[in-house]
Amino acid sequence: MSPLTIAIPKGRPYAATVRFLREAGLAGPELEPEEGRSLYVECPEQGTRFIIARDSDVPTYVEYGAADLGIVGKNVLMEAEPQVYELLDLGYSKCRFVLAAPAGVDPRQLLNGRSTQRVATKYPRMTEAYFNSRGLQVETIYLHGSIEVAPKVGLADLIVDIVETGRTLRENNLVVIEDLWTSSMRLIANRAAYRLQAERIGPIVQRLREMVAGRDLAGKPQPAVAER
Amino acid sequence: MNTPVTRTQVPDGARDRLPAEAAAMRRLSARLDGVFRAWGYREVSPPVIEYLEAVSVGAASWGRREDLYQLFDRKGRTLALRPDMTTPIARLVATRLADEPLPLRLSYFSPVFRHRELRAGATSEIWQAGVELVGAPGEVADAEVISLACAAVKAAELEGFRIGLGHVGIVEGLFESAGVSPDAAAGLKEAMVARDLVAFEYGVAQAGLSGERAELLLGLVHFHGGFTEAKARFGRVGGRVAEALEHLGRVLEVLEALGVAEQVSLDLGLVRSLGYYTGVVFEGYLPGVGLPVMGGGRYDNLVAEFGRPLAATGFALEVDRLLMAQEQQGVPTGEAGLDAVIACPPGQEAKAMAWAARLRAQGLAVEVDLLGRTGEELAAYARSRGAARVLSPGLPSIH
Repeated sequence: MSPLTIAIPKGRPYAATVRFLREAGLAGPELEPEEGRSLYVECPEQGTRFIIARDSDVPTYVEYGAADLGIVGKNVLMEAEPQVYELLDLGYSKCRFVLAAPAGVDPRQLLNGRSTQRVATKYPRMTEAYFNSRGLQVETIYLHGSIEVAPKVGLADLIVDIVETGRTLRENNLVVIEDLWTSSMRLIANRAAYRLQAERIGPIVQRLREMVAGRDLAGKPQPAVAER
Repeated sequence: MNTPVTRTQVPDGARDRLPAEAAAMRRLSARLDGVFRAWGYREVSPPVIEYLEAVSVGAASWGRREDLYQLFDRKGRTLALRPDMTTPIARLVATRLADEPLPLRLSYFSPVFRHRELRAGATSEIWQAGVELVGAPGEVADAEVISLACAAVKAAELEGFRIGLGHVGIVEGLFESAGVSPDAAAGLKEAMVARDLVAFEYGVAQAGLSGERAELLLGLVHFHGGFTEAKARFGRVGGRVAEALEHLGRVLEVLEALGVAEQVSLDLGLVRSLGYYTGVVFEGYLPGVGLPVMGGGRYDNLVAEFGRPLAATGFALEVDRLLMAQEQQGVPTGEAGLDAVIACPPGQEAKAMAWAARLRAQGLAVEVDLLGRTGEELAAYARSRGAARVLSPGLPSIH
């Protein structure tokens, strides 16, 4: 039987994801806890192989069936809306989406609807959906990273971004105006693979579910996440 | 973002089909049409443009208005490119075919149009092949279209086809019996359509249900198992759920008799994005194709929207996903070759054309050279066209 292919994100959630997969018995020592150069790792003993990809590409691998399963943040899924099964909240790499503005600016003035604000974000679709739902017109500025700098350099009035501890915001003299959504890592599955390989994927999902539930009940600390 | 349009571009989501692709599609179309006809289905071809009011009937519950291609006619009325085939066929069944004896067995091989997100392979012109069986309630009709889908995929020379089968009545019946509010039920259904089992779980937790009822709802979306197990687990809810299960059981019995039951498994959490389904719903999958290649179900209230209450059931196959699967499974889909190229030196036109006509009358595919080529030059052209022979009037053939 061909190995089960799992797409996982590089960067911030990588180390916690590798710990999780090893604890679940889905990965062996071949999947190293530090990010290496390898973007493709096989674990013959576990019958799995891993595609290590940019987080926003993980849903694409899974949607098209290049990977059977994937692990990726809810923030990425909300922005991409891929046609995949979202099976399980794995509970780690928790973060919040926030609307933030420079400290000292009155948020009521920013959001009174009388002037058009510029909002910098990595999540343009969700940002637009949010402001539309509030009936506010904003100009969305799509950036790939370093969103926090945008207000300081006069590129934007507000930002929508994810935060874990809030330290980066404080360092850039930004304050949270509103919590929008929360995010954590999710297990996703290709739609066809989930149906065609139900006998294989079903028990894995069940095992991960019990593992995550056990973790919640025991009140164990969540795997540490690197500060951004 | 505004990218300038050049005259060599095609619109986002549109694509050309080159000769080899067009040939593969025509070949698939012929094979599917053969199966549909063998089962008594007759092809119909409703127009590509319809009034917005007509296409909105079926899509209303879930389809997004922004996904429609809309335009205006000269009287200022809003038109739309049809986003699905079932709704136009329901319209013509209720109107133009009102005098035909029932049941009506109709098939199609046509494009539908929906704005899609820009991703690789996502086209906005979506070719579908399918059938509608109208005026036949009951499990045998459902089983007929499901087994016809299996026969169609088999005729496309594809292996590994599997169908997930569910029933709207089980989902809605469980919501009703658990006392889920209509608002909460809409949210839960949306999560089911998106296959977002995490949102479903959180939604169930928020709906404030008793542990047992919540357990039952969660069991639905995670269910993997046979009919006996499904009945044992959900049958005791009674009412609509029990009725739906009975119906599913009878469909499975007929599928068993038709020899396709091993291709069908229960997917009790299946909710399709179009809101018109009232009974069984199903989706089909092929290995190596990430998204469903087929979808369908029973829609007993849709034809009535056009003024004629008739039960109906049907399915649509995704043509481009079938073609992709054929490529992956190595199904030969090449163009029919050219048999010969006839040389046409100056002064020999009449002779060359007459020769070509005789060969065509024998059923051969023949080209007459129009560029005055001879010898190796013409032979090279013939090879590039896959022609076995070069013929020259007045000369013996070269190959």
